[in-house]
Amino acid sequence: MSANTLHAGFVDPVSASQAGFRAVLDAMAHPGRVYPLKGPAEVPSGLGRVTAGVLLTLADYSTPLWIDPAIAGQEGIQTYLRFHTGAPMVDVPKYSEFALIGKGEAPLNGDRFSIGTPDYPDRATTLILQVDGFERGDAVVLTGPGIETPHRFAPAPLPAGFWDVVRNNAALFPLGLDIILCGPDSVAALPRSTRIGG
Amino acid sequence: MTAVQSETPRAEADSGYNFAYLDEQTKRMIRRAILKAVAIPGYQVPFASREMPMPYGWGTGGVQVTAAVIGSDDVLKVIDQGSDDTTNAVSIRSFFVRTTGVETTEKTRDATLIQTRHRVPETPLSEDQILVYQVPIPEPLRFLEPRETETRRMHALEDYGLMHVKLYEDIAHHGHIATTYAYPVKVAGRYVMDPSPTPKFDNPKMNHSPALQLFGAGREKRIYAIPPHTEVVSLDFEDHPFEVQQWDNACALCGATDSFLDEVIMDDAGKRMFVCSDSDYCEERRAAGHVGEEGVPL
Ligand SMILES: [Zn+2]
Repeated sequence: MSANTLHAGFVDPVSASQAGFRAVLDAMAHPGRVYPLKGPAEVPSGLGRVTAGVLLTLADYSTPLWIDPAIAGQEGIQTYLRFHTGAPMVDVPKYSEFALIGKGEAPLNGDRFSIGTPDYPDRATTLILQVDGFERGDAVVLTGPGIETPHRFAPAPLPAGFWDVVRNNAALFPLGLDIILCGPDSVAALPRSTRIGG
Repeated sequence: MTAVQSETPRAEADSGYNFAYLDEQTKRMIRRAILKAVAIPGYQVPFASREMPMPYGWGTGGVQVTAAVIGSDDVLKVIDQGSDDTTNAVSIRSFFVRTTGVETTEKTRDATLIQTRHRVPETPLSEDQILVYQVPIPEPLRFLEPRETETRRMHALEDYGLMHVKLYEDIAHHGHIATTYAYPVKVAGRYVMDPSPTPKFDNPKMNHSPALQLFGAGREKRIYAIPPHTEVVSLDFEDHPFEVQQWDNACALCGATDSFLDEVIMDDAGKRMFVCSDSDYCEERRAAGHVGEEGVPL
């Protein structure tokens, strides 16, 4: 690693993390609603600024991080996240607290991640996906806690199997996978409590 | 990618503390717990509660949640039993002023972040507000089962029979459910939750509230949450439905008949009157021209 390949993190980590957290909290509390989030100015290619902002806000030495092999090999991503978060990288998705999913062709298989245990359902992986936007995908209608009236949501692009993971949360609840979707300048979330369809 | 400046730098902090007192590592840990709490409504997420510069019982759980959430553009309100002026409320408010420099308010509608002990404001909350509760005992099943492993199991199995038996014993002894504070609720049809020692009068306000509700228990090291627009049902029985407290009196100062009233002693002769527990609500009504029996126009 050389100095010119390692991009800077947050300029003001205290206020940037607080703002990043409030955006993710708003998103988690209002599933499918989109909230602006400002990430670091420069990030390695393949890693979105919002994605970087979310991980710099939430990840640290105590949160094992799994990176989708589709992007793990891209130059600088691992170095950047290891340097700025201190998160240990794991090869086994089940051991991860955060899993960064690439925009690759590989289908998403929810069984690979931790859904928590009946006594500790919070010990589940949070999936972080990068998308191009929240309007142009195949629309679904969301209901559940945090949603006043059925809410239309159309993020894209998504890996095959994505909506199966979300649907499966209904059968698993209160276990399940929580999902944070990172667009170019905003964030949305699908906690495990969210249901698809009216 | 061009190097655009994408953060807004914070106004200069004017104290020796980290912003909101807690170090960043601790805030991150609490923030992760809060997100899981929101994702699993009513479930108590364990967290590594920190020592705070105030004794347990002074709301260290709520203070830590507020510290992890608060930003420099928040407007903070702190209430204790509905009042902004008790020692507890004043001390927590000044703690955050000292460590964050945020604006504070006593007006419910002007606040973005409200930390509370024992009450939900009477003024309806909005989507732009977060309510943080200070919780002494987060486990609604604790008095039925002292062992943590067992209560955790009961929640996992959704085994809430004992809780219903307890409420039914109330009926057997008193002819009605006598529990008036910390009255258990079921959140989003799954977890039974302790709404903290708020009067049951406030339980209906938690149901489908537009505001996010966060609960922090410092000594017991638990964080839990009710997302906005989420069903919160007070446990009851078909033949003994849940009912809130009612008073024969109106507020003596503002004439309100829809608020939670405290009985206060007015003079040495022991004269009593009933007044709103929520002092901001009472004040707002009086400012709007409402006058109770003992009140004087403002
Ligand atoms: Zn009044």
